[in-house]
Amino acid sequence: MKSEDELAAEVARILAPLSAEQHPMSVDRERDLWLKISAKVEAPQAYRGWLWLGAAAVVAAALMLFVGQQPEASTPTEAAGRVASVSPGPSTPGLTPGAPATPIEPQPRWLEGRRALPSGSTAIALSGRVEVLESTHEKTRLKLAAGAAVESIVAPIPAGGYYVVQTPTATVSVRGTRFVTRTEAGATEVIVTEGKVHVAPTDGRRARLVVAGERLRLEPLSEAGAQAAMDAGDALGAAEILVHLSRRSTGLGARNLHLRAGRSIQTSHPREAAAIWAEAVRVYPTGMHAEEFAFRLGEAWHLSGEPARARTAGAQFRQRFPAASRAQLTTAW
Amino acid sequence: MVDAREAEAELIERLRAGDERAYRSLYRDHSGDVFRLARRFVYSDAEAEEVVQEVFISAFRYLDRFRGQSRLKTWLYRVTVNRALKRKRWWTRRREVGADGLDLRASRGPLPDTLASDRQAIAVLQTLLDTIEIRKRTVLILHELEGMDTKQIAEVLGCPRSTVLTRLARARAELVKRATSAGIAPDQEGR
Repeated sequence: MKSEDELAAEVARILAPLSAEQHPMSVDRERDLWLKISAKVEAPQAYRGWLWLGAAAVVAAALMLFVGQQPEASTPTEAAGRVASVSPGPSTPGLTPGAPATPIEPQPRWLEGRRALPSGSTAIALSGRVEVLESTHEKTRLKLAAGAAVESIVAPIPAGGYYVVQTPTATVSVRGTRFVTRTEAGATEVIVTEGKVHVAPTDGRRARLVVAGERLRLEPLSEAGAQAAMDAGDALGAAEILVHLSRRSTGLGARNLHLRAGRSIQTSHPREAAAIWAEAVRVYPTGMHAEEFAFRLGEAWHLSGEPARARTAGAQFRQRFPAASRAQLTTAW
Repeated sequence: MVDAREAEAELIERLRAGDERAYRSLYRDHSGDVFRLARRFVYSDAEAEEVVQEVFISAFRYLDRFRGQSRLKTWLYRVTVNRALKRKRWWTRRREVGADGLDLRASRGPLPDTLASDRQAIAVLQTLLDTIEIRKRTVLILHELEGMDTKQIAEVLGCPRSTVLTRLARARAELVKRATSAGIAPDQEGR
């Protein structure tokens, strides 16, 4: 008969491969899902808006019919018909959902100097070529050529709208804020002075939120970029670059890049390091550094204050590398 | 902790007021966790995505049903588990569990060393889990794979902690027994 602890340890060992599966959701997937969800959630709200509008029209018609405040109407039926015809149209601006459909002046393709946009936002070209890809009441999309910079003062954006600045390496989206985006030597820099912006690299790196007073510099995906990030004190950014470079490499070089990435943030950002080690364990289950990857995974969870995950990783390590000199260390997690 | 509670109360107020940015914020903060949790129960990423959609649409529409007795995250987890299990039951009724050709009997023998990378080994374990009764399996998944403690699980499932403990103990025993009889328990390796 096994004790509770023995049973728990055995279950942890059996389920270790499933436990290691983290099922991360990619930024693209997250964004696509959000678009689907917001479309479905907005529909009933808009519907409710029309219901209120219709109800208001009915109430108004009833008042006019019974209180007699419609002197121009020759008959009650005519008065009711006139009021009812107002209900779906834009002639009651305060109640109409969404922005009024005023026509948009043709927009010059290239942004020069300061421009007030139809959305109520303002874009200021600071240098280089800034292309206006899309500019409507709800949606603004700017594109920066290499070496360009633009400052954005963004007005509140209605549901379904967006304000996006595309650079060669990132998509910067924002809601009601003021920020500068510029590209330089393959890097994208975002400086936020008001509000916050969402920066989504186009190369698959994780998206980040940059808040007022913060500056984000997204270095290019290269060894030099990783070094530049490290020099600037952005260890997480450097590790991320190394992981992406590893994914594009093969053989020992790829393993070494993964190892460097994880080690560089093992103590400063153990949770992120655990994700790196988990990927390494999955991709390189045997061969060079496999033992190191498996051990570091447990250590990272231990440092993250995740005892259950650390124990699982430790059990998995002992199972796979029973003769390893560090196997005993894993029992302390 | 107090700050987190206050921030959450403020977020709920904004959600109830229809603040679109609050919706986005809730989704951004929790969609990854909801997806991962859903994926533990359903068979594919696509299905998990559908669960994520259902959970957030449901959360946004029926926020007034949230009484504030638990954390928002716990409430979302509860909705996620319910939605995911609903899908799972539907699949079970359709008798399409393991439709990708996996058969435990055909997969006897110790798992390979490359456990984490071996898709088949993971699929076999998934099938093994599926053989455990759904309420016990749910507790097992939340505890062993999601790392939740029994108190959190009790909140998510809306049942007493003692019930969670009982189900967990039984699920563990059942899993080990089934893994052993299927010849895939780790301690059988090398015998």
